[in-house]
Amino acid sequence: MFKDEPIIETIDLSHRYNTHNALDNLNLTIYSGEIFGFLGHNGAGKTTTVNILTTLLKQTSGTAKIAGLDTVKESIEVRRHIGYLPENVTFYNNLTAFENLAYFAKLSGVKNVEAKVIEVLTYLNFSEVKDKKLGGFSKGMRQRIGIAQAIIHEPEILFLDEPTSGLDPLGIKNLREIIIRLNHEKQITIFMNTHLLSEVAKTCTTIGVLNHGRLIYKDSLKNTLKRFPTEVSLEEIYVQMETNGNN
Amino acid sequence: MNNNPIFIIAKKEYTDAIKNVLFLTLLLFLFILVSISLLVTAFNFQSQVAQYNTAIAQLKSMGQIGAILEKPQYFPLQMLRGTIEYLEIIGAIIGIILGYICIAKEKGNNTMLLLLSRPVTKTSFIGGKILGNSLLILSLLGLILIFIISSISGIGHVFFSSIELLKLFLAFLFSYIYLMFFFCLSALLSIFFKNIPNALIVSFAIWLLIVLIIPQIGDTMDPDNQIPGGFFNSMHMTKIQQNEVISKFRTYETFRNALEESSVEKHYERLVFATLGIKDIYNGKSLNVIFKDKWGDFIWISSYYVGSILLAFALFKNKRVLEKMS
Repeated sequence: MFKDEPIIETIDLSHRYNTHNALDNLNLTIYSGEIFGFLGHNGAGKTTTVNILTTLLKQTSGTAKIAGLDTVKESIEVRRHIGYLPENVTFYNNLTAFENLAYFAKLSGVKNVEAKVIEVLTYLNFSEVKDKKLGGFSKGMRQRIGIAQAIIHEPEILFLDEPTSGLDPLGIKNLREIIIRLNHEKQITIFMNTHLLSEVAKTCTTIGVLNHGRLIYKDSLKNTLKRFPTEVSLEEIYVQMETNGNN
Repeated sequence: MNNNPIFIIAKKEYTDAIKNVLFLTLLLFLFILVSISLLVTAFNFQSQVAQYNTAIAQLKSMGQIGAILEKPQYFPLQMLRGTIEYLEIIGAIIGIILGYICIAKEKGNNTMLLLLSRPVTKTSFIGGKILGNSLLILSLLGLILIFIISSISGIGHVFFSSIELLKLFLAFLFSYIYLMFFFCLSALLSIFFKNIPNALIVSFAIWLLIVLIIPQIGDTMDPDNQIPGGFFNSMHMTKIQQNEVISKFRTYETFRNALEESSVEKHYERLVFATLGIKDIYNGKSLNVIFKDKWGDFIWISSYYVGSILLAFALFKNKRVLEKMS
C-alpha cells in the first residue's frame, strides 16, 4: 500500500541552457502514492525537471533522487523504477501495437514479454488493437499505447509530460480514468506536467507551481482550495499564484 | 545474450530496414546495375574472343598457319570493375540512407527519449544501431557476392580459384568498411542536427564532394590523364623518366595528391582495384605484393571507418546534443 515516504526528491536542483536559467534551486518532495500535478507557464522548466528526473538530462547542480537513487550516479537503476510518456510520441507506425509494446518490454528487461503485453493491453481495455499497426491510430489510441509501454515493467513512478495535449474531451476523460486507476489499483505514483487546470482539479492529489524555474507553490489540492477561499476555480488560484510569483 | 539491449536494438534495426521500401528499391537498383555491368563485360569479352577466332580463321585461310596472335585473356575478377564503381556510388547512398533512417525515425517519432528512459545506456543504443546496420550491409554485400560467384560460375562456366575467391572476399570486406563509413557519417550528422533533413542534405553534399567531385578533379589534374592512352605512354617514357618529369612539378603534384588522399572513395578504389587486379599492374599479383603497395589505402579507409564510429559514440554522449533532442 501507499507509504508515507518521499519517492521523488530534489535538493537545490538547478539547470542552465547556455545563459538561460531553466531551473533555479528546485526543492521538491513527492510522496509515494501521490498524483502530483506540475503546473507552470511555457518555458517555466517543467519539462527540464521531468527530463532530469527521468535521467535524460544531467542537471547543472543539485541532486535529484528517485526511490532513494541518485538520477546521475544510479541512472540505469532509476530507469527500472520509472515509466515515462513524453509529449507527442507517435511510436513506430510500421509495427503493430503488440510489436511496439514487446520492443519496449524487452528493453525494460521484462521476462515473459508476450504474456505481459497481453496483460497490460487487457488492463487498459485495449486488447482488440493488439495486431493492428499504429499507422492508423488516433492521438487518443496512441496515448493509451504510450501508457501501456510506460507501465509494462511495473514501475513505481509514472512521469507524464502534457499527457492530454491534443486529445479530444473523450480522450481526456479516458486518460484521466486510466491515471486514477493506475494510482489506486497499482499504487503507482504519478508525476504529471500539464496545462489543463480542470484536469488537475479532477485528477491530482497534490499540485506544484513552477515560475521561471522556481517552485512558488506546493501543497495538496484540498489545502489549496481551502487556502484560496475567494477564488472560485483552480484557474483563478493559478493566475493569482503566477501573478504573485512574477512580482 | 538475447536480453542485451544492443542485440534487441540491432535486431529491430535489421528487420525494420528489410521492410523499408526506399532501402529495398535502392538494393534492387544496385542489383540491376551489377547485373548489367557483368553482362556488358561478359559480352565484351565474348566479342573479343569472336574477333580473335575470326582473325585466326582468316589467317589460316590465307595460309599463314604459323602466325601468332595474342589470345584474349580472361580474368574474371576484372569483370567486377563496374560492380565496384556502382558500390562506390550507389553503395555509399545506401549507407547514407540507412544512417539517416536509423536516427531520423527515433527523433521523428520522439521514441529516442522513450528508449533512453529505459535501462539502455547511450553506448548500447548507438552500439545496437551500428551492429544492426553492419549486419545489414554485410548481408547486402554477401548477396551481391553470391550473385557474382553464381552468375559467373553458373552462367559463364568459369570457376574462381581459391586465391581469386580470397581476393573477392577481401574486396567485399573493404566495401563493407567503405559503406559503413557513409552509414556512420550520416548517422552522426542526424544525431547532430536538430532539423534532421539538414543531416541528409549535408550527407549528400559530402558524398558528392568525396565520391564524385574530388576524385574527378584529381583525375583531371593528373598529367597522365590528359590524352587517351596516357601522356607518358604516348611519349614512350620509362617510369624513371616519368618520375623525373613529375619531380619538376612537386608543389602541383603534392596538391593533387593531397586532394585525392582526402577522398575515402579514392583510397577504397585504389585498394579494391589493386586487390581484384582491375588495375593491370596488379593483375595476377600475390596479396603480399598488393598489400605492400596498398597498405596505406587500407589504413586510410579503416581510419575513416573507426573514426566515424568513435565520433558517433562521442557525439551521442555529448550533453549538449542530448539537450537538443529533449
